[in-house]
Amino acid sequence: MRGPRGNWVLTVAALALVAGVSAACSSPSSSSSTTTTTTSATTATTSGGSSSSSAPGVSKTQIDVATISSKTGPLAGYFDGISPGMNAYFQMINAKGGINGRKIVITADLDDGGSPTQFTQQVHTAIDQDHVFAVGVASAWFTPNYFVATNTPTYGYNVSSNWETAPNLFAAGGSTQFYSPGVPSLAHVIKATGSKSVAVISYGQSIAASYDACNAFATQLKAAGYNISFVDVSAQLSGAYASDVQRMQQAGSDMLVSCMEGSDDITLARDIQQYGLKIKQVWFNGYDQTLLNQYSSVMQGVYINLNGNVPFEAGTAPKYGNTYPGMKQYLAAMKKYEPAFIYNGVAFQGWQSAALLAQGIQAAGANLTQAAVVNATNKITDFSGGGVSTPVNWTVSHTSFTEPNCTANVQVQGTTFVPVLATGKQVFVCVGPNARNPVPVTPPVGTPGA
Amino acid sequence: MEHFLGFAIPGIPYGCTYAIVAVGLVLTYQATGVFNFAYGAQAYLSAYVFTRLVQDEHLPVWLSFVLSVVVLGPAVGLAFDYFLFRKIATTNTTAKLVTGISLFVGIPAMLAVLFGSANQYNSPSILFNPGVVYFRLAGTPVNGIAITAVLTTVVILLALGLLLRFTNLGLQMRGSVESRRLIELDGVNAGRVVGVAWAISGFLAGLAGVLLAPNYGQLQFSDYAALMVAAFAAAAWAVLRSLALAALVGILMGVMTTTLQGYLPVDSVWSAALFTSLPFIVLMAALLFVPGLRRLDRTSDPMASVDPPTPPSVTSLRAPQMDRVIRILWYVLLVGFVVSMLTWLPTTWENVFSAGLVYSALFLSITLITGLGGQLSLAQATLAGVGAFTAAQLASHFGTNFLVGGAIGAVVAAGVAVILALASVRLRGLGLCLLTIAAALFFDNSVFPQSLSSAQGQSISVRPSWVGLGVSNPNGHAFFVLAMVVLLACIVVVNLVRRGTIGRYLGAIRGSETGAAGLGINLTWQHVVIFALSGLVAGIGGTLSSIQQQQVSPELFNYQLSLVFVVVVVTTGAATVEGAVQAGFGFVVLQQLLTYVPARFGGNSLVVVFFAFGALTYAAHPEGILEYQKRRWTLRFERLIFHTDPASGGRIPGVSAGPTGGVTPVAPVEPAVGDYG
Repeated sequence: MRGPRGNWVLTVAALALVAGVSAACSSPSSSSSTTTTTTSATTATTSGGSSSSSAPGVSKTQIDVATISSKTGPLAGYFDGISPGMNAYFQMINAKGGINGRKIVITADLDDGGSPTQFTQQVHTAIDQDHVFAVGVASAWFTPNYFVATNTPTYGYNVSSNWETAPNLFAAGGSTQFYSPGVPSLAHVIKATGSKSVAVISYGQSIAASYDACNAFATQLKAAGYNISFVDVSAQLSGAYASDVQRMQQAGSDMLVSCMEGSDDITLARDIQQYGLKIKQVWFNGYDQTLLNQYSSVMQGVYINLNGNVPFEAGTAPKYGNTYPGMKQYLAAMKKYEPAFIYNGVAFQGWQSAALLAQGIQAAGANLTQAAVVNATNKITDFSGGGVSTPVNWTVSHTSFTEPNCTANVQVQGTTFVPVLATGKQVFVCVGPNARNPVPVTPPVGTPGA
Repeated sequence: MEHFLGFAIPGIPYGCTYAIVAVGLVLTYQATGVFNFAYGAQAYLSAYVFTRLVQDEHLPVWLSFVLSVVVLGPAVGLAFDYFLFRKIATTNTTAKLVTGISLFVGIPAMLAVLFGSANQYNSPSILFNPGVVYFRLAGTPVNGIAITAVLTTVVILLALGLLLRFTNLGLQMRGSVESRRLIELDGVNAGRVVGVAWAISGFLAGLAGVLLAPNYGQLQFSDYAALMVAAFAAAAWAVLRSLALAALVGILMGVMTTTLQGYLPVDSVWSAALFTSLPFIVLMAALLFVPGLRRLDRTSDPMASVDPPTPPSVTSLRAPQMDRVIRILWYVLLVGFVVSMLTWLPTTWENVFSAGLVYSALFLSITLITGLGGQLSLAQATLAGVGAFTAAQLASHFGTNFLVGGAIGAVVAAGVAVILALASVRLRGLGLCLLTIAAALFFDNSVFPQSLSSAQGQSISVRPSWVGLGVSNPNGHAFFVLAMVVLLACIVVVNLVRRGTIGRYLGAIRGSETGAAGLGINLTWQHVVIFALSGLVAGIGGTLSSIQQQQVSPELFNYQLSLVFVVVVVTTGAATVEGAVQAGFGFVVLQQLLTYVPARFGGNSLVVVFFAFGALTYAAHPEGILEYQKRRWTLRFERLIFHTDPASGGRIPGVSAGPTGGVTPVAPVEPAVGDYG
């Protein structure tokens, strides 16, 4: 039935040889990735003054964009908003004629299914098959290599700590994940709420963003002289937190800083309530109206840190009038084009990402190449997504963070989130770098509402 | 003491849920001989339907409970019995495990396809209000969730105990596990008995599901997978026999978890590792130290010998002429594939097919352990991860070339596999499955995450400079060539092993361990060798995979992927190299094709559903559904073209088919590994 073993092995070896030789013959570019990138950059430069760009995904009337996100699978509930957010922004500007006569259209709305393998395949689909100009990403599996190798302008949700360094990767709010700048802002909340004894809780090291953030908070607040009475940096996802509550009770903590998911914060808050522990809570997740509608009784009084994002309520509450037109514009466009995602945090990141791409295209002018858009974007010093976030300085935001740190905080009151701790019509509190004495300072130029 | 009680009491409700699931597992095993791997998925299904009915359809809690637990739970159990497990009651443990695993991965994926992936919040309690503290015990608030869980568990355990001990049905259920056919000889309707057991078991799964759900802010399948591990441990300590012991250990597991949480330091990364590893440590300890578990798979059915043998491979059946034609066609296809990859195929599809090569190499490790070794390992993705993590850390810390590091990683993976083999020397089938999944979960929760430094975050990005050779060049073919060469080398290794002494010894062991031992074959040595080889190949596959994915992260190699890998490979055929290659390509090509299907129709979840349903045919076609279809079509073609008689095993008509009249006269012959077709 089979040939002798020797023949079979020989065939395999011959095929391997064929593969190797053919590769060497057919692919001169495979010898160096630098060659390819350089060629691409050269093309971009020489086609510079032409209005009909040779860049991928660009025609005289349209610019093609792809989005890659977890639209199905276990992570879909966390990441499926990027495309609606970007789409609403593009629809809005397309309705006004687009940019330089070109409409921006999401031509490939790709799903990674919550799978890293699928994410990698979709990256190739977007860049190699659909030949899009730029990509928006919201995925836990974001891997930058191919985007960097192809110099594709890439925008999105910074959850995977690997957006840093490369000039073509633009995460909403800045491509770095520094936790230290947030410490003075947190210190301000501690002082403003009159708290004396702080507990900090995060997941273990396997959830790096949670662990790193709360570990930095605990260490640096302690160094700044605050009483850190309880630290748990080993909590489990979907864990039981009753023992933490008992320890906080024993330690006399009166403020809790949680770097956990909103759903686990709920479990913890319920335990806090049932143990009768009087403690103020600051969460970094859970700004979700659906969650609040379900658990308003246990979320009462909780503070939620929104970092540099304008709260949605600043666009609706009468108190703010027309102080935040950018937020009003966001809410109106989302209501019109993507009503199911209005209050979705990732859709909000998508909106900011789309706005940055549009501003980069505008700045690149007639020289519409990927390299030109990347270069132009990296010269923007005060990007605020049209007034929905604190300004991001893209000349430095790939590697560092600019002071002062401005954050917005909301508090759960009844069934709504209410912006708090700021004064007047301002939603942001900007604090200098001294956590020991976190004095509010004047918001930098370009801060919405300033 | 008050501190101890304060930490221990909150664990009781969790422990009650573990207890119910453990009891359900033991009950099913006792009555049907099936260790129901899908139990967690059943629990999740009922909890999901219950939550949706209350939150989205606004039905009353009691009505939602009736529909999702009282009706749906038993219905699912009966469906499992009638459509699946009844048909494989007399097959080996592997078939039953594969069926359970298929359901475990398939049910949540199917739910996502049918109902979407929106987050589900606020599952209500079925009896008492979760938000109300009804009383305090040693200063610990006891809320509605706790009271509901404890009351329900007590009632259920009492009812089950009475049913099994004092009723005819209970006696018949216990008898059916010894031999369904034997109790039928006593006039008992065994089908009805087993059906009742499945219905009760389904009800218990649903009940555990809705009891567990209110503990969490959000309903997630991962919590039910974790529940299963704790219940596995409890059931294992009860040797899958004693309901009372299973319940007791389940409750103790819950109490132990929260108590340890109370006493261990919370600012240590090692505490996190210990908390998450506790169920796996308990499970592993049971497997290593409870002697009864080693005898689980030894059949006691005196009528087992009437079962027909597994059908032979198509390669051993087809006519020599057909063999030649297929061989030539495969070679033409292979050369065409290589040339196409290097010339005209778009980069997207080159990347897809390169991924197919990677998975083919990885899946060959399953061919070794399952196809040759006859054992089911649920840690193959973990072993792949060991290879990849070793390569990445060597590159990251010492600047070692990733390919060199990958080779070292493969050896390390082989070493880990040897440790697993030594730990499981006396375990087979179910015991081995549980041990390997415990090991996989231990690596997922403790080893892989702890090996990442804070600077590396949740994954290690594989830098092009680490690999060299232009392998990461987006416009080159170097990665394809690398993957092709590695796959071919792996195929050669597997083929040499199969045709060599090891393969023949393993074939003898698969046929009869007692007989093989009688012939002087060292069973332990062969067990260790095949594990080591499988680990080696998995480690190589893992390194290739991480180069292709450009990252190394725990999620790329988690236990769920091990389950999916098993499901995928047994669908196409675990016995042959061809099956592994088809599985590798099928897995990635299907994923790519499904990217053209709108997400609202299920997207990537459909891949898992597709293969899960494919694997459900394993019991009927243990050679793999593709292998089965190939045999059918090959024989049809032979009859059409060469006019051969398929019943004669490919012989030319006119030649005697032997004394059995050509029914099943052909002795199973080793399939032709590496012989494409």
